Amino acid sequence: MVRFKNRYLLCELVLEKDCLVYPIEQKEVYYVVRQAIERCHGDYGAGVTQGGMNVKYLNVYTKTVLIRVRREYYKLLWSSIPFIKSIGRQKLFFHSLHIGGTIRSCQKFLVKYGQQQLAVLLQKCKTQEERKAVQRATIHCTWLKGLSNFENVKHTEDDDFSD
Amino acid sequence: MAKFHDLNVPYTTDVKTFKQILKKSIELGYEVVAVNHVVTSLAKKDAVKEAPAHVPLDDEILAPLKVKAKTFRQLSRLTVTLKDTQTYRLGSGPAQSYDILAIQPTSEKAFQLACTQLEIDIISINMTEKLPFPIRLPPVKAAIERGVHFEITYAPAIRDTTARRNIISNALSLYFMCKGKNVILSSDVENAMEVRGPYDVANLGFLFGLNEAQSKDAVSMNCRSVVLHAETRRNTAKAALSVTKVTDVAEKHKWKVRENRAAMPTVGDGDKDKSSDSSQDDDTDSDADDHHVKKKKRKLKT
Repeated sequence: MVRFKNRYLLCELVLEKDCLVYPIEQKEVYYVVRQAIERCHGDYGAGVTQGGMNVKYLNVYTKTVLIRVRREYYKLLWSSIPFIKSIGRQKLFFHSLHIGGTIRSCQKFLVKYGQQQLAVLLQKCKTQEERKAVQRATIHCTWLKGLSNFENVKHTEDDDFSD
Repeated sequence: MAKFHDLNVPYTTDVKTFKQILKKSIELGYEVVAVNHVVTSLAKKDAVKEAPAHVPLDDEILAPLKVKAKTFRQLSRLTVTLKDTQTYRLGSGPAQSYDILAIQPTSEKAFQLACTQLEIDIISINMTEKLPFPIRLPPVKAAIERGVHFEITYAPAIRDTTARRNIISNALSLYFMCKGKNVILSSDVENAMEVRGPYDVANLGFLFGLNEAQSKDAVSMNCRSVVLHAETRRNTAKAALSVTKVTDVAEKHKWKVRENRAAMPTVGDGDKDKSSDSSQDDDTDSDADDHHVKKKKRKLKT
């Protein structure tokens, strides 16, 4: 069966000054990536990636981007990504997290990565309320994984999370 | 899985920028960073100073590594720009206080000297401009045999387009001589926004002619070889023996000291006379009471 095989590159946008929401559209990311490939690999790179490249997913809160590209030419894309310095006037760079063959594998990775980031956030908490909020979020997302019907679960405010 | 190293973070007196660079590096996954002090002219007598102390980092900066139960290592590195008329003695003096030694040759003679004779770990050629000398095969071969690595920096490529072209062309001319062996990729960043993650940097190896395995090695295994090469150059005699004072022995090596063996639990028959056991020991430290000779195994990279 002939089908197009793709690679999905999962990246995180690292801004100079971290903000909660970075309002950006998918087409802006697409143009910036196209420009970087053109500058790095010229007309050949632009032509080869034009057909299959697409920004599949963008999350402005976690600043995660999922870019699809044809499997044969993913190296052209991945080697041009480090040269991106800014989008518009905002200085940032791409930090590539994972490259997978399907969107589902990238999603699985993203879930694990999110849990790791929550653990890092727990280390950085300064007040008890922050710590409780992060612990509650961690437990909530691990519960969601295991339970099929999570609406029935009640967790009270009196739960003691302190060690 | 080898750790990711960044062996060229230039030293700045601006502590705030420096801490930001280290913070970004840790967030992106680097575990070993070498702070680079560059000495351009050896005209003054005290051009090379003692290695300064490590910058202390807060727990907040180290949090991403703490979560994975990993530690952060800061090393100090000295890069000397060498012209052929000067012969700087790197074997003694303040240069030995640095963990890693590097040379930036600016002429063919200096390059030959660095590859064949000088006791250094890294040869860093300035690739942002046209090479002042052609890279030839014999010195490169000699350097690879000695365990000296060649460095390619990527931050100038991010800053400037002409530098990018020059770096790619010079890196390729290096690749044709060394076939991708003994190459390390490092950053040489000026601010925190120029740091790139280790997988991104490994992919830049594709632009420099390296294949996938070689480019991944360039950020991890080859850098580890450099650090080990530097350690054996500094601490050991002929890379086989190293001497440590009994009081300075690390906790995990304390079992090797004879005095501590009486306190250690013995396996098997506990009724044996411990003093008769130790007198039959074939130790070499019987004549040197204060020093404990420790045989260091040097793992050679194949």
